[in-house]
Formats: sequence, C-alpha cells, structure tokens
Amino acid sequence: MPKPTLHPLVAQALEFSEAHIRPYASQFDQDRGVSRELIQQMADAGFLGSILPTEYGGQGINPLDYGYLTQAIGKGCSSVRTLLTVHTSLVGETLVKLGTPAQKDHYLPDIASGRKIACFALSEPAAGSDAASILTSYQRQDDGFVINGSKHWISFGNISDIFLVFAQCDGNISAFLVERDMPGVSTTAMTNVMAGRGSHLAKIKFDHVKVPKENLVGRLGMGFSFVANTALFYGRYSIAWAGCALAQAALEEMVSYARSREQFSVKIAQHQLVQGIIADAVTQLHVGRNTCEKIAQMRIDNDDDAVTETNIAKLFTSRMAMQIATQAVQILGANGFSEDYPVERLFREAKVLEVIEGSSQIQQQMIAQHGLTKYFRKPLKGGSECRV
Amino acid sequence: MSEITQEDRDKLYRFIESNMTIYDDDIEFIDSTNIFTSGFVSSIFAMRLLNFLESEFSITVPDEDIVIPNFSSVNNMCEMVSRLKMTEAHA
Repeated sequence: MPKPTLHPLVAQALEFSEAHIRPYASQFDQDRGVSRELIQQMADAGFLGSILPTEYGGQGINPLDYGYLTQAIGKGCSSVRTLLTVHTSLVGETLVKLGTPAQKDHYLPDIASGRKIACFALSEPAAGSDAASILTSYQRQDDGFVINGSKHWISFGNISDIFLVFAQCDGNISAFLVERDMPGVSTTAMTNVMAGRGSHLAKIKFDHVKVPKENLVGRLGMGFSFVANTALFYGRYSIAWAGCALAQAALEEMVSYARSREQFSVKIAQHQLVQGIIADAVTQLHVGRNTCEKIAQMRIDNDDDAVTETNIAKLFTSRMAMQIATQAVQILGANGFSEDYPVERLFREAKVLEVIEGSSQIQQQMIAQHGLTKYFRKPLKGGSECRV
Repeated sequence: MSEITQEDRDKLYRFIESNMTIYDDDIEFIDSTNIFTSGFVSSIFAMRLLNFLESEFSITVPDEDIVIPNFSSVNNMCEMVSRLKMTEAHA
C-alpha cells in the first residue's frame, strides 16, 4: 500500500521539535513551564491551529497528519505536546464540533492562531475518574449564569486565556466558555508535581463569575453527555499519539546508549538480553503506531467505531510508553536515574499518560463493555452480522 | 417527512445492540424503549449516537437538537433524522 503524502506541516513540526523543543525539554521541566517564546513560535508556525478548519484560520490538516504532528512535538517534550492536547484537541476540536456559529466565529480564530491559549477545566479535587460528580456549580442569573467552584490539575490553566469549564446545577452538568479577564476568575500554579512540570498546571477558582448565556456550549444539562465526552474523545486521540511519541523518545535514548556504552569489553547493544529488550520495544512501538494510524483513518472515514478503537489505542500506547520508558531506565542503569539523561524525565512523564484523559482502568471498563457485547455469539435484532 | 426505511431502523438497532452495557438475554427492546432510563446504554453513548446518525444518514444535527430526549429511543432518533433530512432537502 503506498504511503500517504504527509502535509508539509508534519515535516516542519519534526524539524522544529528537534531544533527548538527536544534540546530544551529538561529546561522546561526545571523551570516549571514551557516558555512563552516557544508557544509563540509554535503559534506562528501554525501548529496550534493545525487540525482546525481553514475558515477559522487553522491549517485544516487531516487527523492522520495531526497525529504525526502530535507525535513529532511529543517526541521533543511531553509538556509541549500537552499544549496541543488541551488547546487544539480538547477545546479547539470540541468547539468545531459543538460550538454555536457565534462561538466559532468569536473564539476559533484566536485559538487557531494561538493569539489566545485555551484549556479544559473538568477535574476537581474530589472529581477525577468520576467526572460527573463535580461540585463546581452554575446558577441562572439575569441574562446568563453565575459559576462558583474550583478546578484542579488543569494543564496550561496558569497561562490560558479561555477555559472550557464544566459545572453542575442540581446534578445537571453544562459546559461554559469562561475568559480569564471575567471578574472572579483566578489561577494558582501547581508546581510541586512529579510530571507535567512544564505544562503550567493550575488550580482555577471561580468566585461568582458571571458568564453570558451565549457562552453556554451545547444545550443546558448536556455538558457531560455530549460536550465532555466529545472533548475526551479528541483528548484520547491526542494521548494515544502522545504514547507513541514518548515511547519512541525512550527507545531512541535506550538504543543510542546501548550502542555507545561498553560493559564486559563490548558495547551493551551486543548483549542478547539487551537486544531482547530493544526488540520488544520496537515491536510494541510499531504495533502502537499502527493502531494510531488505524484510528486516524477511522476518523477520516467517519467510522462509528473510532471512539472505541481510540480508547483501545489510548490504553495500549500509554502502557507501552510506560513499559518502554521503564526499560530505557533499565538499560541506562544508574545513569537512568540521573537528571543528566532524558530517560529520567521520560519515565516520569510516561506515568501521566496512564492517568489522564481517562485512566487505564476507565479505558478497561469501557473496552470490557464493548467486548462483552461484540464477542457475545447471539443474533442481533437487526440481523446477523459478520464480525471480523 | 423524509421516510426512514426498515433497513435504516435495523442499522440503528444493530448499532445500539452492539453497544449495550447489559448482560441479560431477555430484554424488551422496541422502537419506543428509552435506552438510557432502561439502563441499556450510559449517557456516554449519546455522543456516539450523534456521530453515528450524522455519518450514517449524512445529516448535521444542529446545536438545538443535541439533547438527550432526541437520542433516547429508536422512535425519537428516527423522527429527528427524518425531520432533519427533510429540512436539509428543502434548504
């Protein structure tokens, strides 16, 4: 099968990542934040609006190219890739799908161009996997809503201009676009963390924040069913590719080290047990990437199973990244624990992928529900179906 | 209204049945069954139904129609699809 022609933005992202991201990844980690300068460079290059439609100033690339672009950036630095996940995927793509025409006209040009940074505000201190149990509330008031509450663990929350906020009223969850300059919005950096140190994590407080009715995303009470789930689909797609990115970065580190490090008077790459580790990592990475390419094509084809297959890809590649990063530390031995080598950071960052955008256990639950039906040998009401 | 064929309904049944989260073999699932309150699927599935209807019937469900009641039964979905197909045909 001929290889698809990649959008030029993908090659540009690869070059950019090698020149401007990868060499500084440790610095972003230590500085507790990706630099504003780099974000501006990424915005100028069109990366932040890559998959968003051209009519809103985006680059209009397809999901496969966007996956490769995510992988290219993520190979350089996981915290930088997180910007694509939250800004472009979780907020940008969701607004394209579910925003009103006025919301699209007002917000998408700023998001696509990177003039404004957007983030996804769902998690709370007591609401992680059980996202529907959020306590942040909204009340109708005059010609809009008033939001009260707080969000935690919000990637890029400390520097974002736009927040896609989920709040509940009598248990009915709705989604709102909140802007930083609305009175009552405040953010506090969360820096004392194991990973995601460069991704401007924040706590966000909403103290009687008045939001106009035009900023309601989706219909009232439909925030979880449609908006959050749509956003998380895009987010999981991004994280699936992030797993490939991180796994490849770890593999490159372990291979490069194994080809230079000598023990027992030979390069450790010549030891068969080391080769076994490398073979397993290569196999996992290739399977993981094939899976991501498959879900990309399913998105292009509007395949109904893309959601389930994306859950599967996310589960697989996040585990894969953790396993390969762990083996990279193993091959580097004591050096693998040192901040002087990237694998120490990659090991920490890999763990995050197994937790965010639905933990591995949440993915397992959803995949099991799918499997318990799909692989049950019972004729369906609509007629039997040949399942491959 | 634009007619929804039996084949269309069967596709919809197959899609829902392929994604049910219950394991009881003896369930009653008819055109008017509320698939959410019956516990056949969770509300997470609503987003998938939206994508399914849009791709299967080549329609765009407008913002005002993206509400749970429109997706809660085969009847309601067929009614909405039929209405939207007719609207788009006359646009």
